[in-house]
Amino acid sequence: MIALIHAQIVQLRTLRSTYLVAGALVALVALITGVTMSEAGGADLHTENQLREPLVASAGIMVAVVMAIFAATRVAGEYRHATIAQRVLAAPQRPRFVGATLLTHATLAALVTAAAFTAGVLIAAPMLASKDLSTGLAGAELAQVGAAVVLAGTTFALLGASVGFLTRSQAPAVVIVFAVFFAEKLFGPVLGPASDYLPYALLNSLLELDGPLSVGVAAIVLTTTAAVLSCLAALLAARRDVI
Amino acid sequence: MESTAAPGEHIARLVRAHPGRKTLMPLIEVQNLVKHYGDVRAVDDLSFGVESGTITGFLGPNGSGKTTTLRALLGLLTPTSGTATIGGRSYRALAAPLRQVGAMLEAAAHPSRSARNHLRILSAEASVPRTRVEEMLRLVELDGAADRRVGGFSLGMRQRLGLAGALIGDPGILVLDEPSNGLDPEGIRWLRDFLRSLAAEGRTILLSSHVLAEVAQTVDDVVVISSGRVVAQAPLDQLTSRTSQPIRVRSAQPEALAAALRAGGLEALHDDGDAITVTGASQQAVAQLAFDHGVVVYEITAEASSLEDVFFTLTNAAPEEALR
Repeated sequence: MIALIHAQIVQLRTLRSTYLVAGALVALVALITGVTMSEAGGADLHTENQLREPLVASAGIMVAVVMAIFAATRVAGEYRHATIAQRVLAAPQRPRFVGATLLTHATLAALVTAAAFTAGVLIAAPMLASKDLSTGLAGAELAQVGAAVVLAGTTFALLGASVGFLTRSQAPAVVIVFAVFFAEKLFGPVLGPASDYLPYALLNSLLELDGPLSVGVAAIVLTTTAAVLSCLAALLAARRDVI
Repeated sequence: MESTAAPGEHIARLVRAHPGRKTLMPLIEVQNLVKHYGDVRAVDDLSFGVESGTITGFLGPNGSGKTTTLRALLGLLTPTSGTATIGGRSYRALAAPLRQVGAMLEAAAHPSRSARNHLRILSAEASVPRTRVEEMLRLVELDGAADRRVGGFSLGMRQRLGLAGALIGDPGILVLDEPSNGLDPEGIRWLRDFLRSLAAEGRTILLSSHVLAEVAQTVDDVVVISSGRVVAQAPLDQLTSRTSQPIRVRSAQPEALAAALRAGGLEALHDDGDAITVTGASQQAVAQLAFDHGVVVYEITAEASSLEDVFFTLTNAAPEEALR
């Protein structure tokens, strides 16, 4: 398993797009935070919750969705470039390969979201301090919100990678990640309270943005959803022929 | 037309008898392998063995089930029924698969990754030192292009990279699917020498190919399949030697020789000059008749058929016919 995880890390490290995506996300979160905080103090942007929102939404939702797409395209890319056979030959017990892949993408997403959130906090704090404002994020609360942001990125990377294994094709994988978002918006009202447990709604609850569920419940349901989809991906990857 | 019917009979005998090497245990063994894709029977009760230390050519027309068989052997496909084992175990049961079996199914690599990085991933998966990457790059003569993106490689370079990948774990067994695909004559010659050098190290190689002339110069044994079934398995020399093929005899007394052969019940056709063509007899029988009649003979040649002749004879016939 260690060898497989090592190989996955080498895979991520040996493509420029890994650094580009990670760097661009951190830079974008820093930019969004900087631009937003420059307008802090206005009528709609002066309470702690209002000031937290752009930081948490950019580092939590934006990074999570992009990392989900990144994981989905990378995993499905193994099928597109026909390198999946090499991966499976190295790990004939396929769930181990799926596990190593999921773990690596989840870890990368955790690192990127942590870096993006940290960058946002470091930019926001001095800017707000100069205006006698604050997000109120400090100590245990900062750790809790940071953990929620990292969990959002991690679970969405797991969901994305699982979708990549299930679809085995890049375009459908990306479409599914976006389609779920729009489907939630379109059909959420029809589903009623059940829509609170859909991935993007859970993300909002987890990040205390707009969701009706508590952070704890959202974290448990989102983690369970990612775990179930990961198991399904491992199960199907083990059973399907590699043609 | 007569010349194509005769080798079929001979090969059929070989298939029935499975001559030679019976005493050795096959290292790779495919037994009653069946694979269905929906209603399509891609592999149909296929059985053959590959002995240790040999290069075995796995031949068949497009769609005959070669790749399906190799993928089943490597655990990439789940057979509908039957088994495919390596050293008595399924590929999925191998403890360190990349260090036991090297495989090149297609020269696949991410186009944006360099050759060196591609091999680094494989070396990590095989748990071999990174120095092995440099060794493999030198071995396949890609050290000068190691940092170039694979997307810019020629097909020949990709094939060589695929071979390097198959060898990264220093396996004793190699399974290669069409390794000469896309190679120019120089590349094919390089591959032939390369495979020979690997076999000389004691490795067992199973390679599928459609370049029959190339296979004929490389392999020890041949397995021919058609429509998902084995139609011949034999050492190459036995498969291509055709004792029932015409024998060309040259003598200073062609008329006397022809008469002697006809008297012995053989069909002898006096060609122009000093040559006679005999059918339906072995070289030994022809030599004995000439000796018995006191006729001097200075050449007896049994023409061997090419692998291509054999291949087309076998694969154009239905499996049952070829086996008959």
